[in-house]
Amino acid sequence: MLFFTWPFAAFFAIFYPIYLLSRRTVLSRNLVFIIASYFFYGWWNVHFLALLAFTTGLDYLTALGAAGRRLDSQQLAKSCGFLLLISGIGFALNGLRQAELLLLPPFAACALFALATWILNRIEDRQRRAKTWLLLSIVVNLAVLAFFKYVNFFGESLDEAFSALGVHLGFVALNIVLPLGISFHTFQSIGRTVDTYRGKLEPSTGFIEFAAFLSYFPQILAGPIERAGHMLPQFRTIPPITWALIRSGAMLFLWGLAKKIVVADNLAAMANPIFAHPERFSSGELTVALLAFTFQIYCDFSGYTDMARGLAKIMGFDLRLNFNLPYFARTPSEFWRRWHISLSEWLRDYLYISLGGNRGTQFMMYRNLMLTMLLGGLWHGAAWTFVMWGFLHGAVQVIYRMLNIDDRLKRVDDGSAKGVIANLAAWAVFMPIVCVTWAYFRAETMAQANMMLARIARFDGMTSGAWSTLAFYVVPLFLIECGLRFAPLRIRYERSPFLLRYTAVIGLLYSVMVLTSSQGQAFIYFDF
Amino acid sequence: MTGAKILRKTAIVIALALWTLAFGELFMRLIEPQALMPRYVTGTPYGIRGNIPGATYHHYTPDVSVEYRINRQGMRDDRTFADAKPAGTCRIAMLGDSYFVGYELDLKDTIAHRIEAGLRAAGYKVEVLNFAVSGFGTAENLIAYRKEARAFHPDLVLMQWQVTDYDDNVRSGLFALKDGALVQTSDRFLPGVATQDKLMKSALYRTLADHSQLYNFLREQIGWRAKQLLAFVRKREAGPAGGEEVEQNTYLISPIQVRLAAALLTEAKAEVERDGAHMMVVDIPNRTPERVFSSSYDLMPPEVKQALPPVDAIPLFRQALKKDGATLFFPHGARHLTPTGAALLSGEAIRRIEESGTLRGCR
Repeated sequence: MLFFTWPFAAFFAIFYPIYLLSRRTVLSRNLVFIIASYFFYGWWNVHFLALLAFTTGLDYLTALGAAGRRLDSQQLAKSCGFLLLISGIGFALNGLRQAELLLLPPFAACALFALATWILNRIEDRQRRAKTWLLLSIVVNLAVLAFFKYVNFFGESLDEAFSALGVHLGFVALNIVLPLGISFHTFQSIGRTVDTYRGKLEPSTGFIEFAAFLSYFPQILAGPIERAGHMLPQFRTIPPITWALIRSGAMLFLWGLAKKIVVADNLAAMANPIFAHPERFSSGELTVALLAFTFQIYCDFSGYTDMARGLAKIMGFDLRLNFNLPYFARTPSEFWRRWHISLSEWLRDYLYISLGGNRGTQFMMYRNLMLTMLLGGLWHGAAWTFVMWGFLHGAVQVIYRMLNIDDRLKRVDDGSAKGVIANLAAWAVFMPIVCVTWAYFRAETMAQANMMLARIARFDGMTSGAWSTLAFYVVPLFLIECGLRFAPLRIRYERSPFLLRYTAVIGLLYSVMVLTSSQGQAFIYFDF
Repeated sequence: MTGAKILRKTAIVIALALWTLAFGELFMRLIEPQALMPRYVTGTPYGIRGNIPGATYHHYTPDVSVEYRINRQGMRDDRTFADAKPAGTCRIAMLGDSYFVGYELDLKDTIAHRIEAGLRAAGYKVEVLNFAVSGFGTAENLIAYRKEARAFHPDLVLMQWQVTDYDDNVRSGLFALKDGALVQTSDRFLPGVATQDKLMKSALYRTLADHSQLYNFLREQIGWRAKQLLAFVRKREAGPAGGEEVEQNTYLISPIQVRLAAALLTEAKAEVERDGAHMMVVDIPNRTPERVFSSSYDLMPPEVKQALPPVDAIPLFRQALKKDGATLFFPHGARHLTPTGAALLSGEAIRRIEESGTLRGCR
């Protein structure tokens, strides 16, 4: 169910009044969230409801265990009961078919929960017990992710590698459907367990609030990857809902909607045919396609995040900022502080720091950086193109750190003419690098990306008529973002006369109505 | 709240509503100019839509500006035709929707006009009578033949075919299949006509319809969605799809729709032949995906394709596109045929008419 479709509009129109009524108690409100979120998720595919319930059950237990606690039968019963209930509903919705797929695995999972609890409760050393629970969470979550997302990629890659050596493994690709949002909620869930292990978060015994947190429908499919420390407290209270909050949430939703269906989808219609057959196009057309994708992916993903944050606001919830004008970044480290912030911070806190972070020699720091970016690339998709994308970003970060460019920029960034020129120059150097990396992110194969970039470098046919279409969608966005970055546009907007604000809103509404692409696209990040 | 306050609030709401509309009009004109394509149609005594007799109106799109003159018989023509056929002259009746009306084309570029001119140039004494009305499907074409065209004694009937007919035939609810046989289930399909007739009496409405881009945008959007909804409901009412649906040109076509369309064409052919005339189907190629042409007529059962082989201009379209990148459908507006597209289709129709020898007696 996409946020910009009629089924979602109908869903939300029914959900919201019920949600408002349910706010009398935290429990009833959280139950309504769970029902709505599982309905929202199951709308796509009922088969994976049990998988979401499994992750919920597993991480409810592992977070408690990772805090060093001994689990009791009540906690085990909550996890198993929830998993079996959701599986049963999924089975019923599937017309009581495929019991071997929808009922047997949940029973097996419950047996696993019970066995793990029984074994780990026997470990006397608290620290060892906590560490084992943490490992269990990481191993099982990553195994599930690996099975659904990476098994074919690694199988095929191994097969190709061995074939080159003359050994044929005969790997047959499995027909696996990737559960929507699995990368997001798996990381969210692991993050909570690690936080409790590190003592940063006191695990709650409240199962319902955790289940509501993990399945929260505005962000379950494509993030932001929330921290339990930020979100769980919101599921323990009834946050106030004011008209100002509703208005601001609705405006954020509308802005995200415009970015998605006006800018991203129209740019996709330009980029897709060219990326499908790059060999047929001139340098100019390929450059337009690459730039179109550069802004498409930004508007697609940040548009989704804005819509998610807007919906959460309307419900009185606060989802974290995930994009902060990333294309104004002057260096890679600044870019990653502005682009997909929730993932960047997750990778920093749970991977980079776990690998040693900035501790140790410079070589170790660069190694940690490269490894983090490579795995970050792989997180986006099971293909070598994503690994290459991560590698390029890692390599650029390493080079920038070696040259100490962030510090040098800080030193000259004093508002002087010299500072402005330095900032502009840094931006003008870094932005093309970002665009080049997107070629690998978008291309079907490495060879295709290489060929595209080689053709772009020829600089022929640069007068393609598509530039004006690109400018039509990108220039207004760029001007608005310039306003947000360099002038206090948001504050000016909020202080401007009512008629101006009203006109801005109807202008956005008309854009959404009139400029919608005829080739509506699903969100890119749903594939991750 | 006092009366003055209520009055003030009401005035503010009205002012905002007017500003919303005015801003919308400005937005359309500056950012995304819309096609102004008012439909001058009304109800006919036999329960289907017809062009408003004697109407003159314009369509403006980003590509063209076209004047439409409807004669007093409801045809897009400057002439009025006598019921009786002039001696030695053959008549062709054209039945179809906006493609055959010649939307986005000047009268001289319409398929009807080109076919008549082409055949006359080849030495035929021929009159082409254009009974097409925007929005018609095969079901309405059949009724238009029975109630209008038949009275003019045509020698040849050219019935337009295009992908929208599958939906149009179900949506109209005029005919259905009962135990495999075609039956007329309703004698009336006048969507929105009563409202339109009332509105057309107002000069303000006519001004809006003829000149407001916002109004035209909203009418197209609402009309399109209403059409989709009605087709969806009628498809459900028509019973099980009868198999897997096929996607063509963004339409989902079920086997039951194909069977209904086939039955309608077969019935039309039988009735035309009973009247001593001949019938040909003219296939308007699918234009989606862009610049890839295909035929929705391909879905028809083999026996229908054999009995009524369509006038098929797709090879010519592909050739023209490959040779000089010809634009065959307008890129904006309602994306009908360009003069080039209409010329190619008319040329192929003329070739097929000559090849069939149907009008041999009038040469």
